[in-house]
Amino acid sequence: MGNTSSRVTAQDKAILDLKTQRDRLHQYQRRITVLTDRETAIARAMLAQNDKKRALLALRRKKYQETLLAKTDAQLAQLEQLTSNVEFALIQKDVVFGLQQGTRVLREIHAEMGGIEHVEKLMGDTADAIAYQREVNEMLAGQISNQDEDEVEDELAALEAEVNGGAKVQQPLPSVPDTQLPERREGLETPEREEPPAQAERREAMLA
Amino acid sequence: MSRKPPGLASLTRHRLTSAQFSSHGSALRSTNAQAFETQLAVFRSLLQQFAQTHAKDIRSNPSFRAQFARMCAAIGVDPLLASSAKDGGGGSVWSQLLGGTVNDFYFELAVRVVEVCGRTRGENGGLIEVRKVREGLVAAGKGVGGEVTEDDILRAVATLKPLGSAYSVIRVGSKPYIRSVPKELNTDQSAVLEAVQVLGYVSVSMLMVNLRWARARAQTAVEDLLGEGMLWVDRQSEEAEFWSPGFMLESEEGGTG
Amino acid sequence: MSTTTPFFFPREYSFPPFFTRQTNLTTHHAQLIKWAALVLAYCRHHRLFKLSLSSAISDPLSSTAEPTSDTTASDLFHNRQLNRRLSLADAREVLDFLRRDGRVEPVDGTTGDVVWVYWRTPEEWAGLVEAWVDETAQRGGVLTLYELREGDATRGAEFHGMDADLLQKALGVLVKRGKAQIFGQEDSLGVKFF
Repeated sequence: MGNTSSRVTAQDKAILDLKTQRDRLHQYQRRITVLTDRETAIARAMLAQNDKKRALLALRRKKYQETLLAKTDAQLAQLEQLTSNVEFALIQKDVVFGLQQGTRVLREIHAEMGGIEHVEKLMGDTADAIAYQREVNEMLAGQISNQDEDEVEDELAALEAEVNGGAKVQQPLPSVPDTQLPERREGLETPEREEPPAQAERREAMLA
Repeated sequence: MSRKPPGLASLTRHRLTSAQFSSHGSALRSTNAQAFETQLAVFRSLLQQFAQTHAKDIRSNPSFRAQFARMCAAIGVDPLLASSAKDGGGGSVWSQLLGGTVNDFYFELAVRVVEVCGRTRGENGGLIEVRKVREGLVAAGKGVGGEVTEDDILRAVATLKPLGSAYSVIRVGSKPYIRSVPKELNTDQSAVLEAVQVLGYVSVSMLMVNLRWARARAQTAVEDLLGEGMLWVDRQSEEAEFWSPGFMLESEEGGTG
Repeated sequence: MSTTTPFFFPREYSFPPFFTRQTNLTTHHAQLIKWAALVLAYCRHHRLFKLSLSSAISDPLSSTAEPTSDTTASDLFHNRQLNRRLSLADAREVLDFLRRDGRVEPVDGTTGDVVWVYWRTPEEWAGLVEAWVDETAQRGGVLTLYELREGDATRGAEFHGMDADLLQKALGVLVKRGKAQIFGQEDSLGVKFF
């Protein structure tokens, strides 16, 4: 393909970069649905065990991933606007910067794709799993807006209703605050929770 | 006729009478010949009228065509051969009577038959059952304007006679085949082909048992036919089986996968 | 990508001698022609772009195996119902026949076991892509190879979901004619049409 003069301009290259990011996003969107579906299922399972904390964690994680995708989508739409601009040369720097930002976000998403096996850790009780849950909580702190948090709580309530068939959960859990209604939370708590081994086994069996 | 009086005189009179009669007869005959010619002319024009009115039916209805063929045969005319020069016109009686409709039909059919034979010659060595030709025509999908019978095919092949002996109809058992190669079958080979008609295939053992042939004789016959491309061999059975390629022309769908 | 309608095998697939190499030259030639047509039709139906001869010939242990995507074609050369199969050598002969016709090509870097089956040649694919580019007025624009294959915009196009390497071959045809240029990184190639 050794042409003397390439008919591909700098703008074409930028568009290619842009479209490649969009393709990656497209691919991620497909694959991330697998993760978010799983996270929803975990949340549901956790609610069936009256473990609101972990259900909430799973939903938050899911929410975070979805917002990442939405953010990139918006950024890409902007970039698309820029690259179709005829006076491209003038705004080239902006486009390059925009692409860099986009790349950063995509990298975050990519990290999120880390592994479906990690998703399972959101439920675990081993030291490793607990450590992972703490890590996720810390990461999420500050990453989720109040509005997002509201939406997460709404989703939790909806799932709860589904799981309990409409009836409200009555029995209190040991060492966990008895919360019926969703509350606004500023910070995140990661209480250490003892769970009777029998219950843990049952849970494991359910997820097998 | 007057009664014969006995005696020699009567014999003489009889001879005279016969002579009179024969001269009268020929006088009559020449009169009848005129009438006959007139009648034929009338008949022809009626036939022509009929043909024009029912041209579509003749084209699409095989029993109509068969009827016409019979009628023409009854008046001693072969409908598909060109009429003799004295009639003045070119072309066959069909084309004269029917304005070319039916003649075209058989001509087109002959072309289609030649196509099917040509197309399948590689796989059947130039010998194909007329029934399979018909199925091959259906498979080719080109509407020949209604139903085509085996008789129609035979008639169409007959029109190819002027092309020499390239295409001919032969009988294997009771079934008609079209042969489009000069190779002629000997009796043993014909017998094998007839045997193949029963199950679609034969083996050497089957021939030995059913025709009471020695192995060598059976083997030679099948190998000849194999060599001529008129049979295919299946060597994945216990004993080699020799199949008629006509199987591949059947109109039903094959197995699904 | 599998199709829901079953493949209708031609009549000869149920003909036992079809799986035995005929000795008569003319008959054999007729046989090759039929096999070649069957291979192309089969691959076209199942959207198989490549064929692995060894896996097509070998008998999978699970006898009820369906033809999967990729390169397996377990019932192409093997008619289970009839218990007849084409030998490896004979199957290779069929592929050679197709190769001489330009319809089969060994895949680069393989031993010759895996081949491209061009039920559509790269040229034909190139034509389809070009037609789509014109229909959607995208000449002069940049498209990624990924979006050509997997994008929502090409859903319904013949080349949607096609093999990535084959698409590149097809675009290569257009590049040679000066109608397109491919650029970018290995795993994120783009194409511009002129």
